[in-house]
Amino acid sequence: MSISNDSSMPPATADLATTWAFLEEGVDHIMTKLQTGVSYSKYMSLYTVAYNYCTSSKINTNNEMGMANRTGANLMGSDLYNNLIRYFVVHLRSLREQTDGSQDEALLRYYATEWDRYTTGANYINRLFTYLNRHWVKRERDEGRKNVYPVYTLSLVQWKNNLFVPIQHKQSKLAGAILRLIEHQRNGETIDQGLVKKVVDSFVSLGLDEADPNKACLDVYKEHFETPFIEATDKYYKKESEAFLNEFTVSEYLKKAEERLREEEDRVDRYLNQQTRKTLISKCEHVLIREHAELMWDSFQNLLDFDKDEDLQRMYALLSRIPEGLEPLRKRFEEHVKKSGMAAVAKLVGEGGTTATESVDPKAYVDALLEVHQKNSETVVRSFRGEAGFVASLDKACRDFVNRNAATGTSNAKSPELLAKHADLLLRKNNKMSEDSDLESALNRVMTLFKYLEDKDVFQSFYSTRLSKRLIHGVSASDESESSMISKLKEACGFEYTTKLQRMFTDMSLSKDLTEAFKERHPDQDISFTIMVLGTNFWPITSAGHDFTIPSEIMPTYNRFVAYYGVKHSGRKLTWLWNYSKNELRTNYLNQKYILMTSSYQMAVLIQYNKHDTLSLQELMTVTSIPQQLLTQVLELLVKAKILINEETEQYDLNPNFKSKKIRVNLNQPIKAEVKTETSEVLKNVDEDRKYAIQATIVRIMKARKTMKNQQLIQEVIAQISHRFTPKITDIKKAIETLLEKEYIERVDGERDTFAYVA
Amino acid sequence: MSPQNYWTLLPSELVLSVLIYLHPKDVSSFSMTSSFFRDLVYSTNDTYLWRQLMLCRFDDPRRSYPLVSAGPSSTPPEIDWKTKVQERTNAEIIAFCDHGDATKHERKRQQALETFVSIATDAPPFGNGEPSLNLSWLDRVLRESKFLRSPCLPTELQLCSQLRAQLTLTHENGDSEEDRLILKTRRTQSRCYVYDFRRYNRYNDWGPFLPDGNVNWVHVESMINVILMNLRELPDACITTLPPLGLEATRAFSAPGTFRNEDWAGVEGTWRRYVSFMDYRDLFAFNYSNIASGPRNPSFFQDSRFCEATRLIEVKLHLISPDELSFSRYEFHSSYTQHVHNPRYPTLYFAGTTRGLNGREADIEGYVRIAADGTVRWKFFRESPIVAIPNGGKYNRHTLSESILTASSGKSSHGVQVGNIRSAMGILGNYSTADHDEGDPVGPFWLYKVPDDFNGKLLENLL
Amino acid sequence: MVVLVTSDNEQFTADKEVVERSVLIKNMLEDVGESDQPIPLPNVSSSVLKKVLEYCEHHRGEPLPAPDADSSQDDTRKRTTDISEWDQKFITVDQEMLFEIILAANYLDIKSLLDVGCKTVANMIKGKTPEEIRKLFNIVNDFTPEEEAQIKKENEWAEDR
Repeated sequence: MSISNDSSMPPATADLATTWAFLEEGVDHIMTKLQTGVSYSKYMSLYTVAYNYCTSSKINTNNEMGMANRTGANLMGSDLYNNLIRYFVVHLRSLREQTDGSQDEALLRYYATEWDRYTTGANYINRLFTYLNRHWVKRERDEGRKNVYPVYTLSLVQWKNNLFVPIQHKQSKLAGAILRLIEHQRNGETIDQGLVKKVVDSFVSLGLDEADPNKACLDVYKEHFETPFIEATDKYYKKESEAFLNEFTVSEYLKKAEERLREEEDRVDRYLNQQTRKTLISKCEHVLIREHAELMWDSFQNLLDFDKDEDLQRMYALLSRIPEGLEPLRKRFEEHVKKSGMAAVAKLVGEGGTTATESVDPKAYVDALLEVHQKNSETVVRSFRGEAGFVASLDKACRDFVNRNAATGTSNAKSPELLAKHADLLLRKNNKMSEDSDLESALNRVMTLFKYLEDKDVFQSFYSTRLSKRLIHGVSASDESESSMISKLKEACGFEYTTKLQRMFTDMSLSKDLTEAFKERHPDQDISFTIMVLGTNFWPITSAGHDFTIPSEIMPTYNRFVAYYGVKHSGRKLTWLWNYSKNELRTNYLNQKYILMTSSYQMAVLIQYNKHDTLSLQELMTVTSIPQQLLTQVLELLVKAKILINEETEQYDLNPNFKSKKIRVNLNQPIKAEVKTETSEVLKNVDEDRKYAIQATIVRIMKARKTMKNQQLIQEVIAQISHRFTPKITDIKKAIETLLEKEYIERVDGERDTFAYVA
Repeated sequence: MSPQNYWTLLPSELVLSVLIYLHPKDVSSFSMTSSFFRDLVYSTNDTYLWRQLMLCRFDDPRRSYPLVSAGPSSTPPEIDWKTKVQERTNAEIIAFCDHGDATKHERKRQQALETFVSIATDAPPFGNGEPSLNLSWLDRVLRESKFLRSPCLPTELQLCSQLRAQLTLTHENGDSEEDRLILKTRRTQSRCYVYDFRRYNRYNDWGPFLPDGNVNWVHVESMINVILMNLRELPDACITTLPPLGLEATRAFSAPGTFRNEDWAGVEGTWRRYVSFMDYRDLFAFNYSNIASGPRNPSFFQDSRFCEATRLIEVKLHLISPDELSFSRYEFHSSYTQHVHNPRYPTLYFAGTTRGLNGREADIEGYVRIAADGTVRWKFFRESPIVAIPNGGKYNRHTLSESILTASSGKSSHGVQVGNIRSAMGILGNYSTADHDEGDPVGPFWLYKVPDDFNGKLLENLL
Repeated sequence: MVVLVTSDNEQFTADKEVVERSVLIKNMLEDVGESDQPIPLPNVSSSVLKKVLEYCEHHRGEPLPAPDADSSQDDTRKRTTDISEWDQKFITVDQEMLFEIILAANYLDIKSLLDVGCKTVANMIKGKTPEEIRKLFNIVNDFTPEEEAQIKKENEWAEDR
């Protein structure tokens, strides 16, 4: 058994000297020899003696002392508190003296060991003096007295003042030792991370928030460790990165920088305070990335040219860490895409062996554009993580080269035309797509480019012209593909954009029903008859505009239908488009019976040979009323097909020896004049449409705003209309003039350039 | 051997641990038992006991939000806990004692009333949903003592009215005969006050103010009573929103909505505005005719056929710079000289629109500032007058409106925030024309903040 | 089980969970570690400890106040003099025992028991005149007549008219 300490415990009424002598012995035991243990009775007697001293402020029952002894109203404790301070000061001075000779790791080890011992002991003491904390210390603090702390906090304050600060005063011995260890680790050596962590943690513990000692406060850590650490980091990586780049390529450097950044993140997790993360990482980002950003930007093109995906990814990831890092890449990328697109088209035009852009093959053109887009959008996804800024650069570049390139010259209409023609080829019966899904994805690719078109109205015009031909001539590949394409356009440009296209389909199916109904009404026709009735405003087709004498052979059918339709839809006017209709004639004058597929004009000519074997140009003109120029072309085709023979000038004979390998002979080839006019016709229509679109937009805006300034109005029109085409300012001004004339709007008196809506 | 005094066993901190559970009155009694306890209560050199006695009954005054001493907020002033506890305990005792002879205790009553007002002002800003101890203490003392129902001295009028204004009739729900009688009297008094043309003149800037520039709380209380009593008469189905009532609604920052930092007054967002008014002819009859026993006779309102109209409109406000003021520019500059620059709460300028049941009505502009007496003052200008003409089936409303419209160029109105800045209770004020001609329509409005997305129905109760 | 020894050398054995209502004992067991040594309580007599253990036994398992719950702000807002029924009955003892229990609870750091004791004494004072209080607690009036006058003035603020 150990000797009982109880016997030496002073009585409850003991004075300060006796009390402190007893307590000091216990405190010293705990601070220096805690490992030898403390008994319950020792613990209880220390607590009790401290308690008894603190509670000794009682009513003095000894009335002899009178008024003089009324100090009991104040709490007891300041003497104990001051004695504790004196003890800590002496104790810490002896600890400090032992650090004089040591440095670096040895110093850190000593410091860490003593820190552990000291804080464990101080925790103990704090609890033994719990009553002092609860009453005297708390009251002092509530009264706003500074520099009074709970006992544990007091012990830390003393450690800081009597040990930590004096050691640090000697060339930052502690922080210096830590920084050297960290440098060793950066150089690839193994260090005792646990030791570093312990010392760094003690720096954190030593911070003190005067208002609330329980709150963490990093001021000591920041001043004594973080600031010098960040400085050292800056210096280290500045030196390293410069040396590295002298020796290795940028690609190698990207790897190195990435690795270093990862290491520093790890370092924070392993032994630093989490709050250092932001400062440390942004410092590293500055030294490792920003300082060398110029170099990275400059080598970007090279990586793009050689498709160095991994390096691009790495460069993107690094530069995205600094706010200004990516913009130069985006700019360069945009330029790169634009150049690639231009080059691809230039190559195509060059291959054609001619500078004439007329001859560009729509499919080859579209494929060339798509290839550039495809390749670069993959790069965006793969190397730049689909980042919105790069997507925007890609889109901008594509918009540039899709609308203006070697094939288009200065015309904004060329690309829409070629794309519409390509779509037409895809949607025709004879396209080479084997599967529906192939066609579908080909159409999707059309849409990819369509998105970039500036003049979507030009596309619309070409598309509807081509669609009308597919429908009239029955050469569309399938209704499903047609409607799939239309719904894609609708999705991209809205309901209005596709109204006409959809209406064309409706007319087709109504016409089919009409033909059926007419046949039922007149079942005994000698001629098989099919009719298409097409709404004037929805179809981009016009009548030929010249006379035509309807041959007597079809006259009864013509009259019957006109009568039938007149009854069914009274008030509607039918315009007959002979230039679009077609006929089938059976031959009876040859041994072999042929079926001749003809245009109406061809039919009108050939049918004359039922009664004649030979006719002059003049005679044919008289009976058919076809203008000479057109008739000559019609006859040329028939001669070329060897149905007619033209041996004498302006004299056409029926060829009695006509022969053909096919029973069905298609004579209905387009004549040159028709081919030529298509493009200019379409563009003329587009111009007309634009005029109305601009006027309609102005009226709409003015109706809503009532009055507007000229400049404002023009900007608003551009904003509203540019999803369809890019309007010219002069066109808008012209439209405003027109509307002023028509009195839709008026000038506001006394104000320049201000218009008002006329209701 | 005499019986023992066991208090001698306890260290002084334990004696204090007992005392903090006592009412200050009991602490006083205890301190009078012996010199030791007297010293413990009165002669210690720390403030522990008094601070504890204060904090278990009242809000920590260090968390209050003073507007008057709005200088650069340096160290908070030392708080004299002992004096505060004693003042408040004394005020409580005064409130509960017999009010038979008020003049005899004039000084103490005055002190008590001032203490009550300051207790309300000292309530901390509305924050984590904790009710204010100050306000629940004040509510209890005033409710249980019925102090504000007893007759008061002329010198006490303003303070009593200020307290009653803040209580917003929450102590008078009309359940008892006594309540009903009190409400009836107050309503008549308030109507007489609010609709009296003489209350609006050059000396009070045509607003609820006293000649010295301070707020006239009697006027503010009257406006509250008029509007509240009208609202109580409306069928429940008409009421989709009420202004927040009671002392809690006077706390700083209790108004709903989100605010930018510079918007210290909580200007921006959606508001509701109740307006009460009299039939225009009634208003003239009350002020000038000899029916009902002469001009401005309370019996005018006793006629069972008499009634007022109430409208609820929406107001939306946003801050602007003074350069952006348009139609109120002139009015604003003419009153600018009265403004004292307050660095912490600079005058804020705003613009907005009002919307009634029938759609958009008028553009408004105005400003808000802190006056020398620490109250938040609002001034509104509107481009065209609100249609405030009841027809009651008796008059041709159209022609009457026309005549008013042509007679006045616009309306201006004064408002006083009841409570602290951004209080939920909002602003009480009176409208009049900008021309301040005698005989222009007058009446009270109550403007208070609603949540930004609030969409409750508006109201036209035109008799 | 834990063995406690009182100032008059009597031994008490109780569950650890029960004696740990005393934050003093709880902290000590945490710091020193558990053993079968008896724990001396030099400031508590056996008659008082018996009473205290009765209280601890009844309240075993209830949550203890958080170690650093000395934030007086929250304390004051909730302060009432209400006492639960069991505690009320428990604390119905003679004055000497009442004050001894308060002292023991203070020493052993049992906050809830200390509160019950202080509230009980506070309730005894409520609404009484100084003379009634003196009589109840055998307090000797040691004021001189001059002092009496001064005291009366000093307490005017609390005077019912």
